[in-house]
Amino acid sequence: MLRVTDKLVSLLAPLFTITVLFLTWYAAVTLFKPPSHLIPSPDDVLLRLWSGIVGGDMLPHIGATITASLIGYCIGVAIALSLAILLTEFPVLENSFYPLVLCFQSIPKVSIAPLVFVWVGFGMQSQVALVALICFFPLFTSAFAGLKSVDPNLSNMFRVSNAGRLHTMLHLRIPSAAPQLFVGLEISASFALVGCVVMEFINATQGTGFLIVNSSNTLDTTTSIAAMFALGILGLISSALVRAAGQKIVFWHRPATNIVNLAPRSAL
Amino acid sequence: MRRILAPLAALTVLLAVWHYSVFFFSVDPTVLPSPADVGSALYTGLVRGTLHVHVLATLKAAAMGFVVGCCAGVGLGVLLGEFRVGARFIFPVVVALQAMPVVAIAPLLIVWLGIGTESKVFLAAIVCFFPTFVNTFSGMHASKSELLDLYKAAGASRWLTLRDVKLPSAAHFIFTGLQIAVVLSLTGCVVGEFIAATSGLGYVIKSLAGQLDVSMMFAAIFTLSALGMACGLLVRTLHRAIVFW
Repeated sequence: MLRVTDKLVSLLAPLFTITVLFLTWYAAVTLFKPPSHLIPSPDDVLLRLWSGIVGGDMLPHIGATITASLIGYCIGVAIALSLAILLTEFPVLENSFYPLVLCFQSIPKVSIAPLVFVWVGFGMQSQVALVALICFFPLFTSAFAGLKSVDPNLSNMFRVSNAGRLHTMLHLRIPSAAPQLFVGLEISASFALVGCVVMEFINATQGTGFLIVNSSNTLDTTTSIAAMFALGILGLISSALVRAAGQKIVFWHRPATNIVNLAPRSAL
Repeated sequence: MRRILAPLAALTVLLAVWHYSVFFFSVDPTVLPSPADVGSALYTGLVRGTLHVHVLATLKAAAMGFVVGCCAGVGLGVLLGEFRVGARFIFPVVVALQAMPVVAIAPLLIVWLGIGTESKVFLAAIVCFFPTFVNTFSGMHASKSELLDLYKAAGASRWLTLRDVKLPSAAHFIFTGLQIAVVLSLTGCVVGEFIAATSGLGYVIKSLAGQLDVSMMFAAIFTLSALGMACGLLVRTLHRAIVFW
């Protein structure tokens, strides 16, 4: 009984906070009546979001953002995983490439966006390239650390029973790295949207980032905020999906409840 | 010794590969400039000083944003760590916000605060707030329960417990958050400068893209990375000096 009420409270409390925030916003707007190109009222924003999604004029933008970040995410994840596996399997590669990767990691990745634009050009390829680049690093670092931290007893047992390299990788290393992998995957998922939006700020003619910039420029703040809400919802959904997948797949690992993962959110 | 030599060797090899591949395949310098071009761009930018204004603008905005954002993050983290009820109301909302691309607010900040420094400071502060807050909050729960019990049994006041037990054990977490935040503050600034600015490294990088001056873009990006590393190092040194236990 106590646990049920506890759960209910932890569900309702944040909802309450959000409601209070919205009500304050609404009250402030009705009281002070700021011009709507500065601060629109929350009901206008929600209506705009509704009409944008149901009426469909925001859907192509949202779709473009989802497609670009999804493709970029998959590419970044594939490269990061294969590189992490290669580097942990072959110490020679590790010694020569790992410092380089660390070197590149210290570059603030979003600052490369204009360079990516020069190299890849207009259109969705740019977004995909930047997203892949940004997603690569958090996943690579966590996969690398995970693959390295195998229980030495187990690893000895595999060696004693003469297990092959592939067998050890599939049945020992990857499973023991899985919890860390999913931490990396979740961080990458939230980075993917950031990368996509920043690139859309710079070059796009479509996409949620473009919609935000474009409607800010025309002082259509209502649309701009509505598009930001859409992005926020996308971010929530994507990280929830990755976390749910993690809990399904890595069912043996229970992450510490209530404490947010403190994995290094490496610089964007 | 090996730990210093190996990355240096890797870097040399990288530079050599870069130089010779540009040389052999005669790559268009508007696509990939040679390391020498980038070096001379760095020279004009940093020694002759064409980049100085922009470095200063970015550093100033990032530093101010960092201070504001981190004070807010640490303050709220400590406050919510003390008042558990408040934490249940606010913490999940902040965590949810962390999953969202917060930089998306940049164009709006420009509308609200103008294209000057204020909008960049604010964006950097927002970006810095999240890691410091989450880390501080988690650090507040990391103190040893025996120690807490001891203080409780001795009838120590709330303030004394906070000062002597909770904050010292949270310090390590707080500095981890600060280290993430310091690099993010630069990133936040740069994104703000991409959108609208009259100076700053982000502004330079973006406007050079229009002129296809790729070697200067590389120079600006390298400068930014060096700034990020230097600031990270500074925070790490402070971390070691202050949290010596």
